[in-house]
Amino acid sequence: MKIIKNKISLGIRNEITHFKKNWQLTAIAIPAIIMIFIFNYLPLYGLIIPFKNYIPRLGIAGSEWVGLQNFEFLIKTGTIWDAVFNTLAYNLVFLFVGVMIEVCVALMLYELSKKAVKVYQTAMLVPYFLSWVVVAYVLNTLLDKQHGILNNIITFFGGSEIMWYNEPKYWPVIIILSYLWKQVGYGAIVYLASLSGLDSAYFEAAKIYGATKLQQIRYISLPLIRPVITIMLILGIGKIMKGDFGLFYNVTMDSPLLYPTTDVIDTYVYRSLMNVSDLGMSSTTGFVQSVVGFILVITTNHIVNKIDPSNALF
Amino acid sequence: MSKKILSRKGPDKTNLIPVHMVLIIMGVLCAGAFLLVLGSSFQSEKEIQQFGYSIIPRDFSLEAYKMVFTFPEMIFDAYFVTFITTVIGTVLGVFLSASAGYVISRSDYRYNRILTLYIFFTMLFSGGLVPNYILMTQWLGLKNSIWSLILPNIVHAWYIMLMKGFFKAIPEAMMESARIDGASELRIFLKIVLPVSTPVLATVALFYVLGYWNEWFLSLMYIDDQKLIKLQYLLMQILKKTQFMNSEAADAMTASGMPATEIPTLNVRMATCVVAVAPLLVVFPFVQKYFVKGVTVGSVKE
Amino acid sequence: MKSIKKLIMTISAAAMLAAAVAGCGPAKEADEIPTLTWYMPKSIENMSSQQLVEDEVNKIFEKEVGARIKLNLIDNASWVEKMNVVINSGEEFDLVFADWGNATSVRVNAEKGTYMDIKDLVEKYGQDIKAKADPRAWQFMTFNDQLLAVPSQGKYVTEIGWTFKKDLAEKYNFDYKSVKEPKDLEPYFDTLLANEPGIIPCLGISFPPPEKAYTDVVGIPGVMFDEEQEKYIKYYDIPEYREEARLKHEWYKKGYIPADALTLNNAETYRTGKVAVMKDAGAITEDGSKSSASYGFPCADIRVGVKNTVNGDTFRGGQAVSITSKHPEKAVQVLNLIWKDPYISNTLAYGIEDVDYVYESGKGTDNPTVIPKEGSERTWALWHNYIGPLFDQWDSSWNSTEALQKMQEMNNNLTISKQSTLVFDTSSIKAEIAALSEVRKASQKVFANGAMPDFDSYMAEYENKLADAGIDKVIDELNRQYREYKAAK
Repeated sequence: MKIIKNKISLGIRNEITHFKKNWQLTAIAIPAIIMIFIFNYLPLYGLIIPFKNYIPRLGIAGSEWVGLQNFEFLIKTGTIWDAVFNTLAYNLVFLFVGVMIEVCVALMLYELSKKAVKVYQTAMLVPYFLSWVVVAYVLNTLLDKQHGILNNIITFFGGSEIMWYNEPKYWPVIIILSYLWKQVGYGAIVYLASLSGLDSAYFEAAKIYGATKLQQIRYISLPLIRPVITIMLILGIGKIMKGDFGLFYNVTMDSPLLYPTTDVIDTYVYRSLMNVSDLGMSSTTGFVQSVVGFILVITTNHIVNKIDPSNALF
Repeated sequence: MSKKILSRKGPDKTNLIPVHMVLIIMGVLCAGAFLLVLGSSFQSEKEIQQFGYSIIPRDFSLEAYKMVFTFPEMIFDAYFVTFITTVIGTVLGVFLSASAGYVISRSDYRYNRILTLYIFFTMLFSGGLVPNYILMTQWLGLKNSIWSLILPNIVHAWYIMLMKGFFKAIPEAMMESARIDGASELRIFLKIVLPVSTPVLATVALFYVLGYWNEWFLSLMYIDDQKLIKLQYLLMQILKKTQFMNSEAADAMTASGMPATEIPTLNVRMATCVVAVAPLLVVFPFVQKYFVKGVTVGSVKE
Repeated sequence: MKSIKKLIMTISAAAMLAAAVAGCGPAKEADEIPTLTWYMPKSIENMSSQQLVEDEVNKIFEKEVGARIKLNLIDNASWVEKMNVVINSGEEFDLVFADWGNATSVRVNAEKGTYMDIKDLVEKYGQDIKAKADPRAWQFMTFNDQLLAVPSQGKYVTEIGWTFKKDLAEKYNFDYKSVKEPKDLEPYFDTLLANEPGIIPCLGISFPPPEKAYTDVVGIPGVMFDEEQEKYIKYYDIPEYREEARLKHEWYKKGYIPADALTLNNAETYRTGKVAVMKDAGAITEDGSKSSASYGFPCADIRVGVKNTVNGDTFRGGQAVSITSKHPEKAVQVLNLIWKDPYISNTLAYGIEDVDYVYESGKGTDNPTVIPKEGSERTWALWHNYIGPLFDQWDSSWNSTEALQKMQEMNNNLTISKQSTLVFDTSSIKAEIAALSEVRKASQKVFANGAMPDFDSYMAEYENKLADAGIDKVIDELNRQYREYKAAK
């Protein structure tokens, strides 16, 4: 009897600590929860705009429901599918190649002294500060037909000038390099920081057992930052339908001949809606991009959960 | 501890030459662009037109900077607004994301999945420009307020997720021992978790700083008062205008008898870019120590 | 706990601040004199004289109308983006510049119900506007019998002009004055290609319009209205336009149009002085003064054609009163005063004496000549035709009385398109229009520069894309609506 009583009281006490703990933790997060609610959730009623014929005077709630009419324009022409394909392909490359290079850079920086890291990291962060418009100017000094450095080199070796902005075939490479160039320094920060957070005792031990640098990376560093890499990948997958407008519009100088390999959903829609300032239609694109991203993330997360629940997002 | 780190790398020094080589190449490629921007901001417009941009100007000219600083008050106002929004936004933002990130990192927290989803959802879905504008200007009355440049970006799901990833690496045992001593969750968070997380906090703080410094769209949306304009927005105005002048809309305006508008010269564009970016690049190396090789989690345990 | 407290304090401080800011509204309204908010595009970046200009005109407005104005200046390049949000959010404001484009244009906003019907108000308070504004323009500001804006004075016809870089033309003794059509330029281009390696023969020029009258269909790209046949047709079914595109491609292949034309910013390239034949700088002047000033070196202009038949859109720049305005009658009174008193309109345009301009002559008279500050010295500029009464403009480096008279003369001679007052119901073809817009936009630069790899295959592909986008459906619908409209008339 006494034992059972004890058990019950223990159970109650457990419940109480449970509640106490959860309550306390919730309280810590409350300010953030409230801010998110105000600035992210309140505006979400805008998600019904794609299903409405929006008239400002009537407001969002008062405008007439039109079903899927706004979605029609997205599938009206065949050409958008090229843009969809480009968006997906570029984003996949950005995501996987990006993460790979960022991790490599972080691993390399981790081996260096503070001073060296300072110099390299500052240098590599520079592109992040230059807006795409400025990057476009810079790239133009390389690719310009007459004064461009690349064409100067080509003609120096007896080749003939290349009209870079008229030749779509070179652009997947140029776009990917531009993206990596701008992003890698910024992205590497995350991995470097998580490496810095690792327990140095692991490496001590590894050295004692005579592990080489590569072995240390393979068996210690990478497994330990795997959770961060996984999270980054899952988060990245959510944005897979969103093309970086600044990159694809500015860096290509919006040259129409390049569209076959550089047109993404966002640039396509931008052109479509230039003459049609219609809030319903423009909200529709964002809605579709979000829904697809959401489904992909949930699926990926589900798969990760199956393999290794501790790495999953939720 | 620092000795240990040094000793860890001591013998490997010679292997690092290829690493340096790779990083030097990458660094030069990255920094080169800025040097080009910096160099051409000291070129005269004539020179750019004749020879193109160059890292080392043939004739060193301050023409562009004189132009940018014709009305210095405008630039200083813009610096001030940029600075103040960056500082306030970063301090508040780091604290909010750390608190949320910590809570959802706790696998023993009951609502952890649902709260994660609550936060994550905002990464993918947004109400769009118009509902946000209505919220900020009509419901909160924040038009032409400095808070309109801070609050919309203050919590960022991505940073919370980052925090979560980092906090997960903190050994449970540390918190457990504190709990046995009867410490409250808040105390554990403030006194134990935050102090060992400086690399994370510094990293996220850096992201906030970069984000707030580079942000210009909020100025476009919520600010009509010239005194509250941010530096990056000044830059964007100049850059966008150049593109705009080449557009059909501009053609339509010119055709309707509008006097011609002058386009900002090439060197002025570059100089504005330098003015907008330089302060952060100068300061960056000094604050870097806080997040490169910060305190390691393990060391606290000892 | 401390930090949490601090945080809560900060947040509540923010909330209080918000409340305080929001609280300003009602406090001001208790004031006798209302302040009218007026959205205007900025003509230049640095408008630091704003307070001075507002104070100056408000002195008059307070006395005469009992209202003040507060300008919300938006930079040109962001105008469309920002105004779309402002309008769609249903924000409370009073006046807005209604442009020819699609953000604040009367045509687009008629459907959205953004602007207030000011018919009666103009009748009551706007007699000075009625006296000066072009009488033909009012009908184009009227939709469903509602007058939605006050039409600005302006240049209503489109001139097509070519600007020659003077030193080059003189060097090669090229008689630009006798040029009549594109073919006349070709020998000059050949000379330039042979002798001036760094020079671009031509960039960004339009060809003279066809003999027969065709008008644009406002808001629907790739379609034109044939005034003679009274029907809608595809742009490139007009032989002259197809020929223009073909000839441009020939020029492109020959190198008259540069190979990198697609990525050159025309306005910027002109300023480098490397282009021999350019598009005019917005006004064609005998002495080329306008283009010389705009491009920065001596130029000469010729006029190669005028599009004399215009559709309603050319009249549609002006000022509108928002449906959300609390003081529409004051807004119209303010507008009327601007049209009545040239001092006000010119102050709004040129700014403040000594700060932004000085008098050259005629100070105190109705027609003084002023010298506005230029370049980076400028701290104020709003174009007169944005404000309204363009022809009240004081003489300056912006415009001369003579040029304005010429503009008026041309306005007097124009013909108004037969389709001009037809307002389309686009609800059934919205998706098609968006698709057409994409196709047109994606190819426009290519056609304008002749920069396609092969003309025939590009044209064929373009026409296929238009067909896919549903151009036939759109044209059928337009023709149907036109027949109905004509029958109703």
